[in-house]
Amino acid sequence: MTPEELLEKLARCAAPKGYYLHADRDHCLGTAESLLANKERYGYMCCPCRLACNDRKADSDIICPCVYRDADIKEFGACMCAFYVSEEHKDDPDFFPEVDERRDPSRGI
Amino acid sequence: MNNIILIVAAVAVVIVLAVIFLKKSKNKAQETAPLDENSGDPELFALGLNPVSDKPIMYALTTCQHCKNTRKFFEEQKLDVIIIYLDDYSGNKRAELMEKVRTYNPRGTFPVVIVPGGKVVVGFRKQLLKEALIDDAGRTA
Repeated sequence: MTPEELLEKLARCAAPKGYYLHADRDHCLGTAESLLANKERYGYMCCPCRLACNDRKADSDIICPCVYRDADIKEFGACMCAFYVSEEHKDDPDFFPEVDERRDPSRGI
Repeated sequence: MNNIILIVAAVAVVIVLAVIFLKKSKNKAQETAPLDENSGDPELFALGLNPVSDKPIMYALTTCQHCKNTRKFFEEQKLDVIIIYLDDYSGNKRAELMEKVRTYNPRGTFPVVIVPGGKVVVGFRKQLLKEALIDDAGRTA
């Protein structure tokens, strides 16, 4: 699968939930490449912004889309990677908010 | 004649099942295979655990867009920065480096930039990086 194909698939899945991929196409392509790299490396598409344990169970909350995405988008308008954004920000290529990490530090490495 | 067809069909079914089983086993092995414990640069690993340097040090992930943007910013500003990619390491080395990152940034997010003099900048924050690495350069921290 190419990064472009992955983006198309993810955008299709996210739209019915009211989420969109970031308007900066290069940012999204880079993220998609990283997701595919993690798939190759770990066997699953772990969040590219977080350090994986290489254990599917331990990393289950940060497999993209992570379980924190909905709350992050609700509060900040974007997920931590600024990959998914809310409808309000879907056309803004410069929207990169600072998103606080919700993940419990005791999880993962 | 019917017996021959039945035997051929049975053999075909067995082959298909065997192929499916082998593929699943291979995938499972890939999912659980430990990463190479010897991966990553040993000198950078040592520096990561004891980050004493006259150059800024950035803890990052190869996959993180914020890290890539921060690196691009350093390149544009022609700043010489040492970058330690934690996902280049595995097992205990990865865990030890992460423990060190958490001493500077307890939330464990990336990138984390350690500036000579003690300042720490978390995330791709151009203005803070500019202040810490360019504007403050030469001043006593």
